[in-house]
Amino acid sequence: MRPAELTSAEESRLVADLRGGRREAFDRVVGLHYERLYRLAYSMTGVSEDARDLTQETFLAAVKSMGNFRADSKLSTWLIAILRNQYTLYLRGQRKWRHAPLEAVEAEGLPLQDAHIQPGVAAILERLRKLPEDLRTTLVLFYLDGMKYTEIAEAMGCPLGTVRSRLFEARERLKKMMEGAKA
Amino acid sequence: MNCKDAVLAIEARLDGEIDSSERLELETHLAGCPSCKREVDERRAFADQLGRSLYFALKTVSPMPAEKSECVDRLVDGATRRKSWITIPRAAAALVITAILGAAMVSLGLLDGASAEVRELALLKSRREGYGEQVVRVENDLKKTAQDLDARVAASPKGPLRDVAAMSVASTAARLSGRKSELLPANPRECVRALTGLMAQKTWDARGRAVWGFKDLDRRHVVFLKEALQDLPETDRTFVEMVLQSVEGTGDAVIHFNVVVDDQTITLQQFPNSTVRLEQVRAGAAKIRMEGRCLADFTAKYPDAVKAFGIDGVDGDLFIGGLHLKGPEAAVRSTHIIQDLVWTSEGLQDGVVENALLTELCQHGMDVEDAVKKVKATLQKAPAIRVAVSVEPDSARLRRHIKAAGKLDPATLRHEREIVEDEIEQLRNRIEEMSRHLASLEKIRITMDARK
Repeated sequence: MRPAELTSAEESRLVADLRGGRREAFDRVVGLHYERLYRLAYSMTGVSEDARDLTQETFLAAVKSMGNFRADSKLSTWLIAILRNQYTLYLRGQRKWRHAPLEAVEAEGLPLQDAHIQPGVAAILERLRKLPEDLRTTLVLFYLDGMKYTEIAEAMGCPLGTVRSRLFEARERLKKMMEGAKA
Repeated sequence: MNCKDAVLAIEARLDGEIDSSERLELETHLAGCPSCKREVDERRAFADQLGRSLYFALKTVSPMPAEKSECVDRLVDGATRRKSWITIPRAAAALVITAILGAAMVSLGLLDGASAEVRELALLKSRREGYGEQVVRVENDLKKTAQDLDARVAASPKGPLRDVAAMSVASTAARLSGRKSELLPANPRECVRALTGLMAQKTWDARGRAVWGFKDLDRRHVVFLKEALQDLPETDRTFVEMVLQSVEGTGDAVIHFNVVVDDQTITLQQFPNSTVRLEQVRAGAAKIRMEGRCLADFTAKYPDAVKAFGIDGVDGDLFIGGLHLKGPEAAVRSTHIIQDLVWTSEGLQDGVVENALLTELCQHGMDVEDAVKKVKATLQKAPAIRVAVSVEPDSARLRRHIKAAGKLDPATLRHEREIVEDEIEQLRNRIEEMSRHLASLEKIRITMDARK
C-alpha cells in the first residue's frame, strides 16, 4: 500500500520551508519519507546501522541541495535518486560514516544480516541483495512502494523501457535463485 | 509482436502498466502462440508470490523509533552550521571553477572537441582528485602536530592546559578515524578492556574508535575505568581521567562558601567537574540557582550576579566579595570541554585555551592581572585560521578524464556529475574542518611553550 502523498501545492510549501531551514519542515519530510527510504537503504546494505546512516545522509544531502530541486519533480523520487548517489559514494569508500563500513562489502552477495530478522525473511532479503543494484532498486520501488513505471523511471533517471526490462530481468534472476534453492 | 516482446508485455499487463495499443497487440499474439499463453498464468503466479514475499519481507524491516528524531536533529544541526558559514552555492561554485579552469585548458587546446557535459565532468573530476590530495596533506599535518602535542602532554605537569591538550589529541584521533562506533561488550569490565585494548594499538584509527567508544560509558564502568588508569600512557590517561570525572558527575563541592546577608543566604560552590553554582535563598521566596560549566561560563551567563557579589578568580581559586576561596590543588577539572572538543563537531571554543593558561598561571602564584597580560601576549603569537581550499589545474589529469568522460552516455554523465559534485563538497568540508582543527592544535602548542 502506498504511503499518503502530498498534493503538489502542499509539496511546494514544504520545499519552501525546507529551504528556509525550518524544523517543522524537517519533521514533516522525515515523517513522510523516512521509512520508505530506510527500507530501500536496507535492501541495499543488508545491515540496519548502515541503512540508518545511508538514510540520514540522504536527508542531509537533500536538504543541503534543496536549491537544485526542480519544481516539476516529486520529493519522493528526488530523495530516492539522492539515496542511490549516496550509496554509490559509500561503495566507493568516500564516506566515513558514523558506523564502521562493512570491511569486505562488495555491491551484493554477502550474508550480513541483523539478528532480529526471521530466517525466511532473511533468505528473501539475501536473494534480493544478490541482484545488481539497479535491478534490485527497481524491484523494491515497484513492490514495496507501489510506484508506477514512470515514477521509477524518474527516480532512477532512466527511460521507461529500461524500467520494464529491469523488472523482467530481476524477476527472472530471482526465479532462478529460488529454483536453485529448491533443487 | 514477437515472443520476446510479448513476454515483456505480459509482465507490463500484470503490473497494470500496459497501454491499449500494446494490449491489443499482445492479445493478437497470444491468440496464436500457446507457449506465450502458458507464460501468462505462470508469470502471474510467480509475480503474485514474489510480490507478497517481498512486501512482507521489507515491511518487517523497520527503523528504530528514535531514528527519525535523530535525523531531524541532524538536519537542524546542519542548517544551523550552514547559516554560520559563508559558502558559495554549489552550482555557482561549479560554474566559477569551470570557467576559470576551462579558460586555462582551452588555451592549451585540451578541451577542443569535447561537449559541454564532458568538459564539465572532466573538470569536476580533476578538481575532485586535487581536493582528495589536499585532504591527505592536511590530515598528515594534523597527525604530525597531534603527535608533537602528545609528546608535550607526556612531559607536562598536571593542570588545565595539559587537560586541554590531551582532549585535543583525543579529538584529533576521533576526527581522523571518522565517526565510527565499536560494537562493545555489554559487560562493563569487558567493555573497558576492549576500549583500552584499542588505545594500546596506538594507530590513529584505533585510538579514534576508542575515543568514540568512551562516549557511551556510564556509572557501571567507573570502577573498571579507575583500575585501567595506571596502565595507560600519559595522554590517554588524562583523557580517561576526564571521562571518569564527567561520568561521575558533580560529586561533592571542592569549594563551598555560605554567607547570610540581610535576609538572604548566599551559597557559592565549585565542583570537581568545574561547575560553578550560586544559590540565593530569600525568606518566603523561591530559591534562585545560577550555574555555569566553569567560572568563565558562569561569568558570561550571569555578569550582573558576578558584579553584584564580586566574584572573581580562576577555577579552583575563587574570590567572592574579596574573600579568597581556594580548593585542593588540581581538584577542579573542566570536563565539559570533552563534549565540545571531542564528541561534537563544535571544536575548540573561544576562550578555552585562554582560560586554561590563565588558571594555570594563577595556580602557580602569578597575579591575576599579570596573568591576563601574559595570556594575551601569548595568544597573539597563535596563527590565524588558514582554510586554504583550492586546487590547481592539472593538464595530464584533465586529459585522462576527458578521454573517460567522452565514452559516457548523457544520462550517465549527469548521474556522475551529481556524484562528483557531492564528493567535492564532502572533500571541501573535510579540508575546512581539518584545517580549523589544525589551527586549534597550533594554538595549544604555542600556549604550552609559553608556559615553560
